[in-house]
Amino acid sequence: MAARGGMQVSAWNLPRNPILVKCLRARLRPAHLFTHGLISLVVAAFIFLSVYLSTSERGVLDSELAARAALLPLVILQGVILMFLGTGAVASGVALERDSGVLDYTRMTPMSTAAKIVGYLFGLTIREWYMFALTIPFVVAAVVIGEIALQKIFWLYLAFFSSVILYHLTGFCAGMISKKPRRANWGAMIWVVLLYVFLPNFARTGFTFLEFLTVRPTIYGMVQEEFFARMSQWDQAEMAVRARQWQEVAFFGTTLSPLVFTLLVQAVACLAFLLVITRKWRQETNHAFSKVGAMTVFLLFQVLLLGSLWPIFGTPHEEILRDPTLPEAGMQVFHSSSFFGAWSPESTARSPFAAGLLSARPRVLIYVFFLLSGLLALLFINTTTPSGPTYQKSLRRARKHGRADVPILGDGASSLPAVLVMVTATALSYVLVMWLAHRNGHLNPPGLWEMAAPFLLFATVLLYSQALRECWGARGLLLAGFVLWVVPAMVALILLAAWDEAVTAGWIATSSPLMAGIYVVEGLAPSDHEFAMRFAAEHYPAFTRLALGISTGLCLIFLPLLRRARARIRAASA
Amino acid sequence: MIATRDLRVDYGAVTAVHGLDLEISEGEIFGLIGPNGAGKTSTIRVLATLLEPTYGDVLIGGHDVAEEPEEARALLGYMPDWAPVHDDLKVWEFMDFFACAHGLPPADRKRRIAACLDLVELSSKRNEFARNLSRGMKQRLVLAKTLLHEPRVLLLDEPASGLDPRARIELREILKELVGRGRTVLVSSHILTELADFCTAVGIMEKGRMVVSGKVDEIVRRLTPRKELIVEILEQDERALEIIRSDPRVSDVSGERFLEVSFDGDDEDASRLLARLVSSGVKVKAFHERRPDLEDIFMRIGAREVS
Repeated sequence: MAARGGMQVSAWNLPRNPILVKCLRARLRPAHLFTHGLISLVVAAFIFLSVYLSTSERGVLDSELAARAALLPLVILQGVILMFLGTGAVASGVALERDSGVLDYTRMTPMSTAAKIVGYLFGLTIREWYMFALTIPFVVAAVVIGEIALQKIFWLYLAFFSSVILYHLTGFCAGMISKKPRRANWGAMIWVVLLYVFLPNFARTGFTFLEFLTVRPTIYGMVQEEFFARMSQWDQAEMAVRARQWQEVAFFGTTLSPLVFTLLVQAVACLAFLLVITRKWRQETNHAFSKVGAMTVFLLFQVLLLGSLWPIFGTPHEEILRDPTLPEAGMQVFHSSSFFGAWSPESTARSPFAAGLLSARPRVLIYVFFLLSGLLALLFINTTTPSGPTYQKSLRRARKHGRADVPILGDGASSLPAVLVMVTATALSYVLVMWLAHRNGHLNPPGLWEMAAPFLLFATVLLYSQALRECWGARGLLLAGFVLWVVPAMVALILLAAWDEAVTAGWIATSSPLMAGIYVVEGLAPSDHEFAMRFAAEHYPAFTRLALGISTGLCLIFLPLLRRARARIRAASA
Repeated sequence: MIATRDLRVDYGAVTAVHGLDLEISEGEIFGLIGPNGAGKTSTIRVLATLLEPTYGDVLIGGHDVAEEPEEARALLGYMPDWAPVHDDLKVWEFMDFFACAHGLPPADRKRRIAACLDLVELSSKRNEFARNLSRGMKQRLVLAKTLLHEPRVLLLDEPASGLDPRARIELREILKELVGRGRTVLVSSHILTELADFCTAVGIMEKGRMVVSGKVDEIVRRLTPRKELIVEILEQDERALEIIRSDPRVSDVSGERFLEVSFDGDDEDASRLLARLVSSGVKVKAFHERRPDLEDIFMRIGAREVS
């Protein structure tokens, strides 16, 4: 008897997607429709009416501005529903199905992987989409009464939905990776905070693209005047700066609309999550990233880093010093009111503290460039490096197929070649950045050694981390990272805080790349600050040499260890 | 229909399945027996394409599960041992989901769902929430789901665990009916008597290895070349022991009134032994051959430890 072939539903035929229909039945029964609908309606009505009536009825604002004022709180409510509740629903829903085993049933059905992903992505959040839909009438009221341009609403919601999909994919990914539903929910929340709250703070240093992981640049750059109906003078000045900052995004030699750039950056992030989800769908035991996937995402990340640094280092340093609010300079950190009180470009230019910060900025940018590249590379090292048994398993399969060793890009292969590709890509970006920075007067390393030191530190740290991960596993890497990177930094901080032992602290901290990074970038452009300059000139070259000596030494210890471990496995599998 | 060659499954440093060779023909019910942890579930999960084998070839209907998982899946129906269900769905919704997911044409769906629920006798529960079903009912519901797309190969991992005796008998009848319809069934269990009655062949696993496999009678013959005769006498009688021990085909005797005799002869020889006992005045109450069952075989080959 033949197995039945069947009619397969297209991934994009949402109303007929079996997973979506299943979730619709399970998560939107009449009881849910009533309770969740009621909650959503009441909260949305309360927000709209309280803002609108409290301002219009008291004559604080006319009805048009009052309606506009209600729009932002409504969008925040929608964000809470879709981004917060929805992300949790996806993460815990997927993890729950995996944990119970019912996901295996779905895995075995002949639906396409795309149809399964789309089904779960929209199915598990169907209740949240329903709650969101019930807030729409109030948004429509705000738009109609507030006479808000429909085009701007379209832009806003395009960026909003793109962010929602990104957040939901984050939750999906957490659900596919973590074992326990509760852990998945927390994992998703941690990822959301990390990626969309913590990481965008690096945008303030100049890596503006990180801010575009959120919907904020679109709001500030394109639709803020629709939201902020009534502002103080200070607020207006702040808004004007933000608007100037985000109205157009400098990327390489061109400028893009914040909406386009948001969609671009979020597409890269979505791609990364989709790669993980697809691989985990196909086979639970697959690494989260393939070697090719990890290298692709890393290269795209390098393009984004480079694209953000390009306009900053492409603008002459003197020009930036004259006008630090240049949009292409990405200078948010330098106009924060917490730094300068009532901010103005003139006051910034006059402040010696601000001037100090401005001169230190190129070094900070290089430090953050290597920090972000390193963090992503470490993430990929951890997700693409095989354990000993995985290597052995792949070796056996390779030999079954008549190969002498595992395919270089297979899950069982060493991640060393992939790390070398990432190191090379970073080297190319760095060379371009240095060329541009040197040409425009941002950095002036006295020699090749000073210029190469930051990269050498980066490369050696990644190489010994890879070897460590492959020899001792994730726990070994974590432990070594804690002992070599975190503990010395802590000891150094105590020495510094308690006894002002700056030199001893400096020596101790050299094994930590987080601290050593500070020493090595100092050589790129000596500090303007008199004391800092003296101290750096006196000690940082020695600290740099020791830091590089330690990381090179660790490479020389762990790379041969790795070779020996692999040879042992090969011999055992022969 | 199902074949594994030198199958190995490792979990880190632990080897769950070691060099497993298996050949199951179409229309067979193959019982995979072994204590908990013997490697049955790992074997079935590999066959179901849900676990990558460390090594070895696994073929379902001629398709390599590692190279052509989609083709293999099209032939498979898999029921895991804990039989999870979507608790927040009604029975018919659960079935409808899988009917749609397997791409059954809309016109066929209702008929197939009704037929499968009928087969597992759950038609009366079609509007119940799955969470309200008993463990046995959930098992039957998952079995019904497994049958929806009429798979040619059924992989059933401990399908009777948690079922009451009546439900076990019903399950056995369902499986017999399925094999009657030409399905190939691989069913695992650690309850030996569960499988002995209806499996056409069995395999006993221990520490990840297949200790013995084949038709039940063949295995019994292979592993017990000597007959075991039971001679029950009314009162203790030394003559009985003397006569039995004097028979050259008897290798061992134990007991006093209930004698267990290890006997290397055919039925003719056995009847001659009985005749000698009776003619010597021994009061024989019962004289019969004890046929070892799977449990005896299992204990005999010492499959007690787990991997």
